[in-house]
Amino acid sequence: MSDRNSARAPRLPKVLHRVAVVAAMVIAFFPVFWLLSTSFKPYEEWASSPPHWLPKKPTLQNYRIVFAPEAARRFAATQAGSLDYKVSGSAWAAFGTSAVVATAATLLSVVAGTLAAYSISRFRIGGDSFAFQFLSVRMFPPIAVVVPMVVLFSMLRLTDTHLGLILAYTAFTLPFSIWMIRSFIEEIPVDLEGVAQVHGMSQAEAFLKVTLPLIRGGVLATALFVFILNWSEFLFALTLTSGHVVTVTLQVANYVSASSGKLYGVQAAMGTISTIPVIVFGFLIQSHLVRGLTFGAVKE
Amino acid sequence: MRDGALVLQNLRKVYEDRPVVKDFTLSVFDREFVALLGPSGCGKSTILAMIAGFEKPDAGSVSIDGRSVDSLPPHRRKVGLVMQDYAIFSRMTVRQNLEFGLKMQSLRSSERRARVSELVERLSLGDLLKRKGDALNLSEMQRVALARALITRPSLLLLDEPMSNLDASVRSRLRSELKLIQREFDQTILYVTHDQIEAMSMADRIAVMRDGTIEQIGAPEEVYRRPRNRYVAQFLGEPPINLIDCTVEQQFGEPVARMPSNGALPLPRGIIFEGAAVLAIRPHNVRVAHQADQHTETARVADIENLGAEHVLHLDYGDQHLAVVTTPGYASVGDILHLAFDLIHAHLIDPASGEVVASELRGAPL
Repeated sequence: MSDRNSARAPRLPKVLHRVAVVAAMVIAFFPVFWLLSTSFKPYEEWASSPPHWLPKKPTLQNYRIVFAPEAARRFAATQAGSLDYKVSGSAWAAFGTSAVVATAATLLSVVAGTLAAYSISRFRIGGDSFAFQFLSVRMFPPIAVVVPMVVLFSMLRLTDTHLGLILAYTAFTLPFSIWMIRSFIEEIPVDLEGVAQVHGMSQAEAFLKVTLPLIRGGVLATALFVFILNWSEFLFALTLTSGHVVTVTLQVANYVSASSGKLYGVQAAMGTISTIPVIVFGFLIQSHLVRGLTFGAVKE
Repeated sequence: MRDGALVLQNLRKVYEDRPVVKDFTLSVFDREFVALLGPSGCGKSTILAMIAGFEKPDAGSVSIDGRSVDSLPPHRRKVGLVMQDYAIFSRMTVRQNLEFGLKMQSLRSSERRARVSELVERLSLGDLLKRKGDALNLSEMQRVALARALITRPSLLLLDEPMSNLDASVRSRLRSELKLIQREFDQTILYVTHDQIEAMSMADRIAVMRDGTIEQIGAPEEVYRRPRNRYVAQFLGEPPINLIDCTVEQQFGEPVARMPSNGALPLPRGIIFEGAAVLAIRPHNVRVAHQADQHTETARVADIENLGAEHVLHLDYGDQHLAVVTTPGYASVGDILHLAFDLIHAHLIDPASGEVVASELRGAPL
């Protein structure tokens, strides 16, 4: 008996440890859980009090409204006391728009960011504080620059175009790209490129074939980070478009009805689906991601 | 011996209004081992970067093997490079690292293999060939980096602080090994270091640098025994040279140095000036005795530094400090010792200019 006690005593901190981890996970995942749960709830349960933790009468109606609004309306007509809502087209278009805009802006931002970071790091372009100056651009709250942006965009006839949003997103994520990728480049000894050059590579080759493969994890981590920013962006999407270009975030905001206010269930369904691309991207680059995100934090 | 395997003429490099390298001129002969010795920030590495072609000089020219390389990219300058952190390609195997330069030169694989096996034997790299770059320890990395540089048979091998990351115990062996390899491969070497021991033990000539220029260049013996100025005298030697403030006087028509505890050391007749001077003498060249012989100068032992084989005594000498080297156990703290200076190894320095004005101060006994 005493054996078991003595074996148990040191385990106690481990138990506390697990409790802490579980508590952190509960806090972190509760919004996700609530999103998922709400997305399967019928209209009556969205904001019921006391709340239903899990849907009492699970339904796919919210998802139908997102992807097949016509079918949803036919279905609703067969139900008594059903919800009235504006059929605002399928959300497929919004997913397409967001995919195009977020991907293009991410590519532009990361490619331009990599080249700029390399110049800043290796050629000392702009002096030592240049990268920080770039970052300080992001210290403006976006709302502060929205009005000038709207004016600028309408002068350039970029309002409500895919290109316009792509450029706006690129401009706003470029400082992050430069800052993050620069820190990865600076982890790689410049001497590696020197040796490669002495042995026959040009500086561009040395960068592409020696340094770039070594920072691939970091660049992918940066890309994921930038993609998440672009994918979930709302303010610019709202102010720089006027109905033609509709992103996922705008579509979510569109699910409002005259009689019922915000359609929480539908918004939750749309939100649930919109996290999928990010999760898939994350899984695809998972092996690089851990290396990339811990890069610099861990000294060898 | 051809001359001028490397010729640097009036090289100059300015970073943001600060000249890092100023009118730097140097010739390295074929098969010669020259060390650039100086503290960090004196411009050594910038010179190396200009020779390799990574940096463009603001003025001056570089030629290697008698041909100007100023307009050539790094890979056409026929230089080999070993850097401080070795820059081993970590995802390649050692063999791939070694063959890297040969592949870039489009050498046939039979020729590549022959070159690798030649070096593998010489540098005992046999068991490393299949290992990845990131599975090597520091001294293995150093050998691989050296082999990778030698394998392309460069006209000039540039080494930038290649030993500063290694343990002291490894360094001593590597110094003699590098010297042997240099002879065996008839390799011309320019070696950048801040470590005087590396420079003294390996180089045919040492260029002592300060602020982007050469203060003195010569054989290690020469630079050590006949420093041109206070900076060079202080930079070389361990423990550092003693610099004793004294006064040169003419006593009965003979020059003497008036020392801190008021004795007078006879100086050679050629010294005709009078006034403040600095007597520079290495700790090994001051002898101490418990008994007064004909010695006139005395000093008190303030501290003893135990180096194992010998002791360094730190003496209070008048109001100055003097270090001497003795056999262990010769004196204890508080002892009053009599001093004898081997003036043949001493130098007189003009305190204003810092230049050595006289060496081999063997004067007539008083």
